[in-house]
Amino acid sequence: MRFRTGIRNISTFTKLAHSLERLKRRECILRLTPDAVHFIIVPDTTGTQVWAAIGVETLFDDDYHIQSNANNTINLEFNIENLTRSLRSASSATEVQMRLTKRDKHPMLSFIITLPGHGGGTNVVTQDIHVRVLTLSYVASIREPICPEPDVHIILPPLGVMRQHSERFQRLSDKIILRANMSGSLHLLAHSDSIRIQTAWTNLINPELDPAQVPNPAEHPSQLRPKDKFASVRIDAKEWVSLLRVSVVAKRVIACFCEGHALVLYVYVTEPEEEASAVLTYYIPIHSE
Amino acid sequence: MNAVIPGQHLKEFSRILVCLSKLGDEVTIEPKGGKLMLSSLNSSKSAFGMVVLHATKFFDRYDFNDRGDEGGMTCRVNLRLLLSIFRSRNIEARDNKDMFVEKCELRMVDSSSNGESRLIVRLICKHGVLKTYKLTYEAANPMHAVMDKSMCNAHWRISSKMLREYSEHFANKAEELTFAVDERGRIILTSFTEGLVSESETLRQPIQTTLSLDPSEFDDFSVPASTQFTLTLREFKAIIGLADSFNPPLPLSACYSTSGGRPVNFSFEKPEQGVVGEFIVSTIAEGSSTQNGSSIGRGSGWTSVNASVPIRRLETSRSFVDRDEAEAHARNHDPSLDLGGDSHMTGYNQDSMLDETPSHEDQLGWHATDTHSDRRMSPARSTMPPPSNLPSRNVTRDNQEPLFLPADQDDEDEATRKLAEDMDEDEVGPTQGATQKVRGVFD
Repeated sequence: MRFRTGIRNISTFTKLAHSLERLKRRECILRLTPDAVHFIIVPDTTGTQVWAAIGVETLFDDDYHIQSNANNTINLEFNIENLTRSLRSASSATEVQMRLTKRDKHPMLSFIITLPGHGGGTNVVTQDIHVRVLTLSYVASIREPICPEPDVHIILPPLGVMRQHSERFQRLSDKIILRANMSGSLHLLAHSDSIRIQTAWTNLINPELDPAQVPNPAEHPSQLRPKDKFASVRIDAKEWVSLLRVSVVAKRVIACFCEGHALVLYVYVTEPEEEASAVLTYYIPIHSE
Repeated sequence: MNAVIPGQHLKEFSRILVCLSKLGDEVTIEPKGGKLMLSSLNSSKSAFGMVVLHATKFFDRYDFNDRGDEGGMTCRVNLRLLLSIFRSRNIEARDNKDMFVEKCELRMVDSSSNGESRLIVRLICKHGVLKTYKLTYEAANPMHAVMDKSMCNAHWRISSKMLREYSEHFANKAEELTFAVDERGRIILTSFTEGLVSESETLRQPIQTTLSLDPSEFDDFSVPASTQFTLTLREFKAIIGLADSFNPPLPLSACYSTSGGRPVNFSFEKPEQGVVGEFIVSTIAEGSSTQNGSSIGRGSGWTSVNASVPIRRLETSRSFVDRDEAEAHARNHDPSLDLGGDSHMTGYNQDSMLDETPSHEDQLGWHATDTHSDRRMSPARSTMPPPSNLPSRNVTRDNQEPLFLPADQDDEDEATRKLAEDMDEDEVGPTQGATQKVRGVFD
């Protein structure tokens, strides 16, 4: 099994790693394939799941090389904080190489970072993270959640603003309610014993369904429901605020409300033209009253 | 003793105390004619730090009543108390400019005058506000670590600011640092932690960092190739932190002998301000863990300034006498300096001191190539740990190809067994060359 690549976009990679931190679970699964890399965070108990699929070209150089007996796929597990810590050393690097290596019989993910030296020479920092190589059977048991077709889908306002409001709401209650309709309205709500507070956005875009992905767009639940009718979800405030950290890399976010089931966010980290190449999917469980 | 520290030097004074507090819990204050010495020794007696403050350059006023007997007014004070006095001054200066401390008076009053032995610290602030702190002290016999610099064959000097930048690459939990020079003359810094060994905890291991530096980073560099030493990262960072806290950051000099188990002498100075810092840190010998590291006593001499007992100064040419003894030391797990008696004697094997002839040639070299082969990083063939069992989630995406390709039953088991074996033996990083001695986390 072999894996090595140069990292092209250190800043995006770092921001991505940061946005994956602070979710309930510290361990992250990294699935490496010849075309894409997947970051998967699945908590042991209920909680937000992140399934990120990033095209190789978005983050890595042309020297991306992967080879294994299992269809040239490698599945690793590591501590996400170690990743962000290692990437911190690379903030002013001229070159960063990522490799799967071994040290004292332990598999490691190595970051080989070349930095310019003060005296004109170059310095090289190597950060080795302990990883666990996962078997195919284990990895096969982790499947992406299945959700019914969403009742409402809407493009969220800038996440930074949402985060500011959500942080304040978090102080009132440990649950936040989000609701949206197919006429571009989104509400953020929180209740406590003495107060009820709401922020409302209007004139947001409800994206059109892609016929290539959805067999019969006209029959989709989101198209059949009355446009003004709100679909509502009640989610954990702390997790919501944590995951809004992805705002640092998010260019466009589509929220899908599956009433009674979950809130699904599709976060695109690249420009719309290249959107297919990198998306983080957040599956946020709902909490009933 | 009566000394007055001007307001502009208070920050430095406070930082000096902070650095010494990272070594030990108490500071030994030794006033002398012309200078004041602050020193601290750590509990395992493996690190010693001393800062000498010049009477006229650092202080506004310095009166010392030399009563003739050596070590007359040396005292030991609890550092935490001193720190809290000086730290609060810093805070107040920031929050409330009116409480700006103009100067600080240090006075040692012993019991002969009015029955109480106290170190009196007076902060003279603006608007005539006076804060007085009276601290008890313990009379002490000053103990200094002494190292014979002429026996050192390795020297380097580098800006402490750059050292601090390098140290930021290391994991916070890293405990030890190896400073090595490879055969090409590049400097390799490697951080280690005596880590947890259990399989389930593997992912929690701190990051292992290696820095490969170009010699041009150093102002001055004269170290034999293929040598190294290992020391405690925490203490090293404290020393770097103090040198770097000056404005501008001071260069840090290191001086050591590359023959077995010797301590390293770090020093910096700011002559304009009358500050000289000198630190002697023992290195961790091969084959022993941090706790059992060789103490300073094996490589340098301890002198008691109190001359009432004859001082046996240890010659630092005294290296580990022979290999067996070195191994015996390592196995013996005797961490502390054998100070003997009532702390006046230097610690070392009394017998060996009689033999004065240094024998560098046949000793256990600091970096014998034998150790290389022991620790060579060779990827071994082993089976991978079984994955933890998680309940399976039986959901798949219905409208898309499953994200995870279903494993073929036969291939799967093969794959499991071969996972580690498949890893390419050549896949090592550039700084993990075959001859690089890498002391892994699981020693």
